[in-house]
Amino acid sequence: MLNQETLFQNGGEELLKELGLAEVDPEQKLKLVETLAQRFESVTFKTTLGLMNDAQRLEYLEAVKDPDKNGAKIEELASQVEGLAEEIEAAWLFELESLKHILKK
Amino acid sequence: MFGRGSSPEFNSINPDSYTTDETKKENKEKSTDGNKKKLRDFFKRNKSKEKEKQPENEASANSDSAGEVLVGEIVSDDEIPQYIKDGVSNPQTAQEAASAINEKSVFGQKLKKTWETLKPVVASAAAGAAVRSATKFALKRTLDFGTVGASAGAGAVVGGGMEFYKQNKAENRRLFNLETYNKTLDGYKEMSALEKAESYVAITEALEQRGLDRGQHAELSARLTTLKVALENKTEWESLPEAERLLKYMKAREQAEREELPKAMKKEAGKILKDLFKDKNLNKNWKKISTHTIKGAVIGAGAGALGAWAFDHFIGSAVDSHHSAQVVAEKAAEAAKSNLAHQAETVVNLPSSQDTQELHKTVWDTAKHFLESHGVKHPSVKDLNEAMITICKENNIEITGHHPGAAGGTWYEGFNHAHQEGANTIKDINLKDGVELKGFDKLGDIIAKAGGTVPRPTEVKLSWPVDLHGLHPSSNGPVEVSAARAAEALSSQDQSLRKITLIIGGGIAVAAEAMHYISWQKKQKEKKSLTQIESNTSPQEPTQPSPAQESVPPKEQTQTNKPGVWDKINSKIKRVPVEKTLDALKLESEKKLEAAKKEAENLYLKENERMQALEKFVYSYQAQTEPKAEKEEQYEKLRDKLGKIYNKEAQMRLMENMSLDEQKDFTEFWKNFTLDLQDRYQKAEVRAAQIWSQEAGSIKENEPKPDAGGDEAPKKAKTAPANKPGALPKNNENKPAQKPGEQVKPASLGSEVGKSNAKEKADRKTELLQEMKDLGLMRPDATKKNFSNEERIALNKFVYLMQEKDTSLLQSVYGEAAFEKRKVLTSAFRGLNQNKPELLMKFCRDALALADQNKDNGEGIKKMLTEMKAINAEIAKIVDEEIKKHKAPVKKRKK
Repeated sequence: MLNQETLFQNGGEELLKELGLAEVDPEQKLKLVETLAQRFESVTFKTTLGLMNDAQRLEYLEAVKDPDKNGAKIEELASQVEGLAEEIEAAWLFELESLKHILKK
Repeated sequence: MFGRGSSPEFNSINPDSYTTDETKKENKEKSTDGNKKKLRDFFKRNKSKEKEKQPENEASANSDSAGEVLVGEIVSDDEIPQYIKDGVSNPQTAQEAASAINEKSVFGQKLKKTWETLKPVVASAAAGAAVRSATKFALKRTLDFGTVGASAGAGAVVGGGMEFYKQNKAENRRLFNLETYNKTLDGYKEMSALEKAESYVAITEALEQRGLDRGQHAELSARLTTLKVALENKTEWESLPEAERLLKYMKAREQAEREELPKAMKKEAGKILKDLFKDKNLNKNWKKISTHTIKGAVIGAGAGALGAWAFDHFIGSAVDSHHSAQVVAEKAAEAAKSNLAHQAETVVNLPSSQDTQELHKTVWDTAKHFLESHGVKHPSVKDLNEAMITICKENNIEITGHHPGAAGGTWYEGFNHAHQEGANTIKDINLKDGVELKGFDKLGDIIAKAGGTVPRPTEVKLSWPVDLHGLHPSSNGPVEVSAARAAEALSSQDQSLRKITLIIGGGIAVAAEAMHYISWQKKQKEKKSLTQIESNTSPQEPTQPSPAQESVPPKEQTQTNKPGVWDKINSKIKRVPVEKTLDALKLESEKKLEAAKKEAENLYLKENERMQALEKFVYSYQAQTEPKAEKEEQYEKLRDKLGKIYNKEAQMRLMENMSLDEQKDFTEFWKNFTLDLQDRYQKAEVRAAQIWSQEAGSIKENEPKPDAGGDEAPKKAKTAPANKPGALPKNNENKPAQKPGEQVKPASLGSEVGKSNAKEKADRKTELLQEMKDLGLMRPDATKKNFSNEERIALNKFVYLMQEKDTSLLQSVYGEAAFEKRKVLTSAFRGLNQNKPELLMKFCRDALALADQNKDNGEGIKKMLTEMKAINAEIAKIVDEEIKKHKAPVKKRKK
């Protein structure tokens, strides 16, 4: 097994448990956690984009082209979106529920 | 949404700031500097006191907390109204503000803790100009909002609730949808997952009919597209294991969103977004984009909380929480004069706004009226009883049989029924008309069952600037909303949100931070091992706690959340040294990966040596002269040490503490050679099984087929480790092909016989290699020394194919034996078709040319090709083309 002490693994374990997928083999587990992470990251991005006005959105899109260089700009723009944290939370919740229901037979 | 920017008019509506411009300017400069100093001193003193009281690690947890950083921003921002600056210059007030911010709930926990989680950005928030400016902007915006909200929202939510409320309105809407969705699903338990999903989309669509903005529309379209994809692949999806299904779903959803989202944007943004989705680096960048966005969101949330506090502290306390809509509208109009608000209107959802009703005569009557007003024309007595009992329970009403909840103690007709339904605890109480009864939102099920319209959140439209009738509920006339009711509704949602977010946050939200931590952990380990090595040569530098380490939070904070993943993450992330640069981490990661690869290569070399011994044993074993048991024992010993490299244990050990990207990279590297070893091991096992189970003469019948898995081997071997590719292919080359009908020679006859056999085989192989070159199946300058992996495999297949007869390839395929081996042949062709199509073309051309020259045997080729057609359409296509090309010239030649 992978090192269970690592944070990412622990977080992944929690999420997989929540989805009822705690028993998959380690390799698949890694793939799942990675894909889930990317999915929720993508949800974060799209939620943010959806809440911005046109001008902000353009600036944000320009900034995310190079997140290494424009990290501070992304943060600045995100901080100006009212209620963004709550919206992201809600979008995550919604996504999680969608995933759960896809898993139900 | 609301006015941002400087707000000169702002002061005009605040009595505290009636000063002249000049005075203001002077005061601003003086008090800004003075306030800054005061605040710093205060927080400094406070920290010292706390340090005295608490253990060292706990005391430092309060340094640079979200509250302190943000409150600090107030005094340094020139555009923040002076009266607020002056207000927070009071240390106690500042502390109150800081606490209010720290208590704000973000991503499932208190902001103080979230802020600590994002420790690296906190440090930069204090120093970095960009983050500082972001904080200021957010603060200013929120304070502007707070001011407007103070006037306009006083009737809706008291003291800062407006900001909190506003920030949560979208969440309310989503949770309401989700709740409806879940409820509906309960009624459709028999549905398949995809049918449920379809239903979900339909419900969402219905709910969103109240008005879709572009983003929502894109989201919905993406959902519908995903569903369409899912339904198209319904059978396939439902038969998949859960994990696979989830992966498929996420892939489809992502694809759908990437198609739909650009369409929802304006032209320019849509184009950028399209390009962004095409960017190969996007998957790598998601994490960074997401992390920066989340950090920004946290800063924004902090600023929001500060605004809410400011609103509450400076303005909210001045207004009554139960003002009527008229008063609210008046206040809003007053605020609008300041021209702070630029947006025309905003819509606020008030969930369950009808959950409170005034008592009208009796509980029974009130419930009846409520059911009737929601489309239940003639409520049944049973429904009324149920509704009445629900409301009584919700309001702790005890009623006796004679005076059941009636204003003035009036008898009501349904009591007997209620009594029969089990309402034995109803006791007498005198309720007055107009008393507010809550819990009417709980009657949704009864209304739904009776065919009525379930009450939905009420929308309240706030218009800016407003007139005296600026507050317009969407229906039922003006609505007065008490702060308590709004707060209650939000509180329960916040709780459920926090619970789930805790889990998501653990694994996802701070994944990037977790990776940061893992990198740091790895470096620490490396550092440790280096220190051990260098301890004899250089004195160890005294270790100083990093700023991050200093701020390890107390283990038992005043958190209401149970310790969970977040706590574990926080406790570790806080130790990430802030001073680490990304470049250093990258370099460190590369070094770590290199070291792991080196170790893997060493493992491979050792294992390869063992594998060669095993192969030598099984492929040279032909004798029956030695006692079988001894041979078996020898084999067991050889085998016993094998398999260590391609089992998960070794891989997992080397991947310990690697980041996900590193693990991915390393796994690819690992597969390159472990799969080949595994393949060789399995073949050796098959061979050994044959040896033990059969007489030597019959071994050939079930000889292990060297093409097993061979098609994949070339791909896997493509990126074999730099310092070992030679060893890997050479190893397999030495597998001697046992010829059919060949006299079995006892191995014990001596090494000379063995050497002679080996030489013979090597010569034969060289011949066949030449033949392959002649046929165009091998590159002309290929030698055993410079083979690529795929060439080695092709040669082995060719050798295997040719072992039936000592003749050319074409002669061998003319015979019936060739058909028995067609799978091997087609497999070789398929491999060629995939990897070297030009070689296959040349082979076909040459083969057909030769076949035409040997017309007596042309039938054999035709048969072979017919078989091949059935087996591989691709090859058949190529072969067909070749036949067409060659037919005409052949006929001409015949003529």
